[in-house]
Amino acid sequence: MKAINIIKNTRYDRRIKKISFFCFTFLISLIATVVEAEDQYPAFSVKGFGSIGYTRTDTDQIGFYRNRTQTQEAKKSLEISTDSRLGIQLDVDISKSLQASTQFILRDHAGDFLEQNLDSVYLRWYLTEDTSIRFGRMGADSFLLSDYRNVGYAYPWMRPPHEFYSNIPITHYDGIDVTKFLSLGNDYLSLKAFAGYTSTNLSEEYANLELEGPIAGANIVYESENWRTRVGYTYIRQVKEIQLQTLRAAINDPLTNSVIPGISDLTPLLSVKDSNLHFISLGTTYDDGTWLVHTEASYIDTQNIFNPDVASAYLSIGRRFSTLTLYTLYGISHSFHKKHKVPDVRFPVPALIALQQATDSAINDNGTDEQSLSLGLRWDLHPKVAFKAQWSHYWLADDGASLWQKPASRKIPDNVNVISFGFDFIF
Amino acid sequence: MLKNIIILLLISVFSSQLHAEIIVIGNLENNIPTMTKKKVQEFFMGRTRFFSNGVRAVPIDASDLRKGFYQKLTHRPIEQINAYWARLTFSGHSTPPSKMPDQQAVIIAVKKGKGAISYINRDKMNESQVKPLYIFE
Repeated sequence: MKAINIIKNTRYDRRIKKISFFCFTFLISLIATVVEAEDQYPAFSVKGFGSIGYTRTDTDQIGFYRNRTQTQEAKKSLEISTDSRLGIQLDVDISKSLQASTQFILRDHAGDFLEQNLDSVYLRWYLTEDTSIRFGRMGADSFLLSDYRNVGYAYPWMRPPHEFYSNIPITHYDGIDVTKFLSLGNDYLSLKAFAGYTSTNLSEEYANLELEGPIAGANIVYESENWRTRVGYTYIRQVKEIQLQTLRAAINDPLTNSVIPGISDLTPLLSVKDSNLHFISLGTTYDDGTWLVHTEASYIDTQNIFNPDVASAYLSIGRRFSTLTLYTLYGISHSFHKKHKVPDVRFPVPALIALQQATDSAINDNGTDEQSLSLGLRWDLHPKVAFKAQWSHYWLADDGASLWQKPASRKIPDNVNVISFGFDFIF
Repeated sequence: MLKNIIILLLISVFSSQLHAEIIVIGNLENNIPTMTKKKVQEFFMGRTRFFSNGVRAVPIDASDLRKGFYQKLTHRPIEQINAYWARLTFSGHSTPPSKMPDQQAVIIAVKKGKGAISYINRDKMNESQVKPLYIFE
C-alpha cells in the first residue's frame, strides 16, 4: 500500500497507477488460468442489475441526493439520475479454488467516470473450503447494506435509508480481505477482516472532497433461518485536504485578519487532512417470507468539522402479500457538531461580509439533523423485474441539511416530500 | 367439451408442477451418501462449495423445474430466491447455481460432471444414469 501512496500528485498519475494495479490483478488471473486449467475451467459468466427510477421533491429550495457522491440533485421536476443505474459483472471461475470478478456501474458519481464507477476487480482464492482471501478492488461494506446498496432488486425500498447510507459513502477500496465462514449446526457465522486504500470522490456540493486514505476494518455476520445480524467496524485515515485553499488563504491573510479580527484563528478548522474516521455499526434483518424487518444503528467518529460525529439509525417493516410488498421506513440521523462563532467585520464592505459568510457556511453548515418517514410498495411483476414506488417525508432542522444540496441563501425548508417510482431488474 | 379438456389439461399441468416428486441427483461416480434437506439447501443457497468427500460441488438449476424446486426447498417464491441471489452475487459473496434449460440437459450435465448436483422429476429418474441424493415428498 505504501507504493500506492507514492505517486498521487495528479489525477492522471492516479489513474495510471490504478489501471496498472488492475492489470496486475488480471495478469495473475491469466497465469493462474494457464497453470490450473481443467476441463470445466475457466468458466465465464456475465450478470447484471439495474434500476430506472424517477424522483422529484416538492420544493426547489433544496436539492435531494441519494448520497454525497451524486452530482445531479432532484428538485421539483422529475429527475432520472438520482435512482437510476446499470451494473455489469463478469465472473470467472479459474480453478476449483480461484475466482476473478469485475463489476462496473454506470451511475451519477463525482470524479473520474471510469475509475470511480469501477466497483470491483478482484481475485479470490479459497485457502480452505471455508476461508477465502481476496486481492484487488472490493466493494466497501461498512454497514449492513453497503456492498449491495446499488442493487435495488435485492431490497424493498427505492434506495437504502438516506439518513444512514448517504453520509460518508465509501464505495470501494483497493486492498485485501480475508473471510472465514463457519457452519454452526443450523446457523452460520462469517468473520471478515480487510485493509487497503480507499478513494471516493464527493460532489461539488461538498467542495469536491476526496475521501481518500488507508482503510481497515472487520465485521461479523451471524445468520440463522430468518435472521441476519451484523456488527462492523471500519477505520479510515483521511489523507487528502478539502479543496478550500482559496478560502483558507483568504482568512489566513494578515490583512483579512486586521479587518475581521480573529478570523485567522479559524484557519485550522478548514482542514480534514490527517483526521481519523471510525465507523461502528450494528444491524439486523428478519425475513420469514411474509414479514420483512430491517434495522440498523451506527456511530461515526470523525475528528473534523466537515463530517462531524454522527449517530444514525433506521427501522423498516414490510409485509408481503404474494408479489406485492408494502413497507414503511423511519430513519434518523443527528450529528454532534459545535457551532463556531465567526468574528464580525470591522467595516461593512460587501466583499468582507461575503468572506465572513462563506467562512461561517464552510465551518457551521455541515451538521446533519434529519428524520424521515417513508411509505412504499414493491411489486414483483416478473421473476426478474420489480416495480417500486415510495413517498418519503423529511424533517430537517435549521443546521442539519448536510446530506442535501443547500441553497446559497442557507435557508432550508423544515419539511420536504420526496416522491419516487421506478423499476429494478436483474439479468 | 373443448373447455373441459382445456381445464383438465391446465389442472394436470398445474398439479404436476405442485405435486410431482422432485429428486435431487448427483453423479454416479461421486461417492457420497444420500443427504438431508438442510444439506441440499446448503448446496443450492451458496452455503457450502464441497461435498463431504472433498469433491467441488457444482449445483445446476433446471429452468423448467426451478420454481417448484425452490418452493419445496425453502417455501419461498422464486422472486425472493432471485433477490437473495442478487444480494450474494453482486456483493461478491457467492455465485448462484448455473442454469440449464430443462431436465434433459440437467441429466446430461450430471452424468458428465463428477461434482454436479441438480434435480429432476421422478418420472425422469433413471438410476443407471444418475444417483438419487434426496427425494422431496
